[in-house]
Amino acid sequence: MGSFQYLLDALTPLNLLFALAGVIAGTVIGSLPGLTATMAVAVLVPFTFSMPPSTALIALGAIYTGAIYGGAYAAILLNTPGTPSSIATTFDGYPMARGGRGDLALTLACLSSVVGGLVGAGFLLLLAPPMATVALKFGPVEYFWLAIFGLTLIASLGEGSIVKGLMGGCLGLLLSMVGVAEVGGDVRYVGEFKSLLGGIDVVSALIGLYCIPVLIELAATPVRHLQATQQVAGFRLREAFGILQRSKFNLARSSVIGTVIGILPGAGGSIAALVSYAEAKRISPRRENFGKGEPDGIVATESANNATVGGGFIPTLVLGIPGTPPDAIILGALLVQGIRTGPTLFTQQGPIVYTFIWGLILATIIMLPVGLIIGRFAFRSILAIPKAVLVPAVALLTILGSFAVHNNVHEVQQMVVLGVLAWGFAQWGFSASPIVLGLILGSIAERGFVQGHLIGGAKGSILNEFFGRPISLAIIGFIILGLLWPLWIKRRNRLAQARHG
Amino acid sequence: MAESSPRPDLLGAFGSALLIAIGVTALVYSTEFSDLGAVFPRAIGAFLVSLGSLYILLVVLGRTRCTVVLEGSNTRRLGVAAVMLGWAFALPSLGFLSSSAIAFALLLVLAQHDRWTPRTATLYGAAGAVVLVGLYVLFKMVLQVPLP
Repeated sequence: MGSFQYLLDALTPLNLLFALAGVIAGTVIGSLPGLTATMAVAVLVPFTFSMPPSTALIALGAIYTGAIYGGAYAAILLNTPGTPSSIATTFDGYPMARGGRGDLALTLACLSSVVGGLVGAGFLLLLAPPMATVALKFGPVEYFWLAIFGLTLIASLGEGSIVKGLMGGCLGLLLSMVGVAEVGGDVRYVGEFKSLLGGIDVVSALIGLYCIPVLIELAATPVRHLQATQQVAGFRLREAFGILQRSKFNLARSSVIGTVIGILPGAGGSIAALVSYAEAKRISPRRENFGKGEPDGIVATESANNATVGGGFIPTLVLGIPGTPPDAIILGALLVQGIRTGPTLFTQQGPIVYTFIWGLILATIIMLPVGLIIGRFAFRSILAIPKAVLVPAVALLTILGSFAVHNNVHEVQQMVVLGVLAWGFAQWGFSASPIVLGLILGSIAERGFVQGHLIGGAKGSILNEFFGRPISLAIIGFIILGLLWPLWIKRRNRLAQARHG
Repeated sequence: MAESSPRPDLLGAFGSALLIAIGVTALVYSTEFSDLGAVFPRAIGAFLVSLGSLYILLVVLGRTRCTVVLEGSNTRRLGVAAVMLGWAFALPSLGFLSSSAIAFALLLVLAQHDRWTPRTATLYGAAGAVVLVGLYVLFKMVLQVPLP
């Protein structure tokens, strides 16, 4: 059966209806701070059990892709990433919204997400089996260095000091160690607070660290929360297409980076978006504008995080190893449907898998009108709401979102305490992003570090284990480059300024 | 809000000192863990202490700049922080609806900078009630979240 037949199979009215419903549901859930793509898929997965397998997969893929994109709304309009994947979208999205270009930022996010999603799905369709083998080359040490790479990137990308960024990353790593250790089973840094045994929940912490400081600052001044331009009613599509045309290499590069990082199990959209952002900033002739409302920043992060959807399905389907947490839930749904993943999946159950991949491509295309319409509605709503109502409404969402993760009131308390602390640290010049990323990457980094330590010890050379493998060395090279690049740029700018006067 | 000024970053040095204290605490407590559980906290704790010391040294050498300038009302800032903390810790005893209604009203007052009129009070109060009840129904009834 040819690929065209699989496309026709995906185009049934039932599949299209569920793809549309999935994209809408995913976008709405993803846009609410605290409700992640994982939660969107987890909440809605039981509805798919009674569906035919390919329809169920298409619906789940649509929810997932919609939720990843939906995270951009809160990131751009409220400076609060709706999902961890959209952390880097806040860097330029919120400054754009504050400067009166929120509608353009949302349109750019939608278009970039669609392109990224299509590239990821395209890779899944054409290159799934060979690319999955690349993921198998990553051992514990490579994962450790990858996590450190993510941390150094965010430390060097911030507007403030690199040393402060690295300190924030270390604080996040220490926070990730609270609770029962994944390796060794020690109870660490819990003290008398038994509610900390389960550790600090990443999503609750994310909400607190980003949302609470914004709420505190919003209430402190009478300045409007967002500025509006006269073009507020429009999609600003022409302008957005112009930016994408100008940034086509950035778009293509970020989509490929997102796909490749999505293939690495556990790495996920947050690292993909950061790496793409760093690359876009490094190469852009407008690098000074990054962090102040540069559209290229949104193009990079949103195309990369949506590309991880297709990329993440590659190890999920080919190896049975979920690339991201939502992939793990979808993997469970596949097993419920009686589909066995693995290298033989594409030959033995080709019709279902290829119909699903085409369905994912269709869902990504459907995301374009849905995203633009919801984005316009969201922007106009946030703009119209008086700040006095917006502040308590967002505060209510933070409470609900952090509770809903595990139905645990202690996580609400953790969220608020961390948020107030983050506000304090912000007054001392420490940004929340490195702390959040340290918390997210802590378990990956520690698992890789301890396993690498053990393997190196058993082989008789720990140093050789950490510094003697080709992929590790390449990542270490990128880490050094990431740390030195901003210093080099600063020095170059200083010299240029001195020359000019 | 963030503007560069030539002042040395004393607040950053204070934050660094606090982070050094956190790093030292992490190192001290790591002696209670097994070798396997202690290796990563020790590495990160030591790194944090080194970075904090480096930053304080940079401040002393005059190689840093203070980048934070606060504008607006500190009373409102502290008020929002206090309301959020009170809300989170009152949830188990007061329940979701009661604690949220009180906190919502307090935050509404804290975030309102214009003069209150009977119209704005009615309008904002009604909007708050709609948001609160709407989200309660969405989470409790539709998403089946067992709110306290």
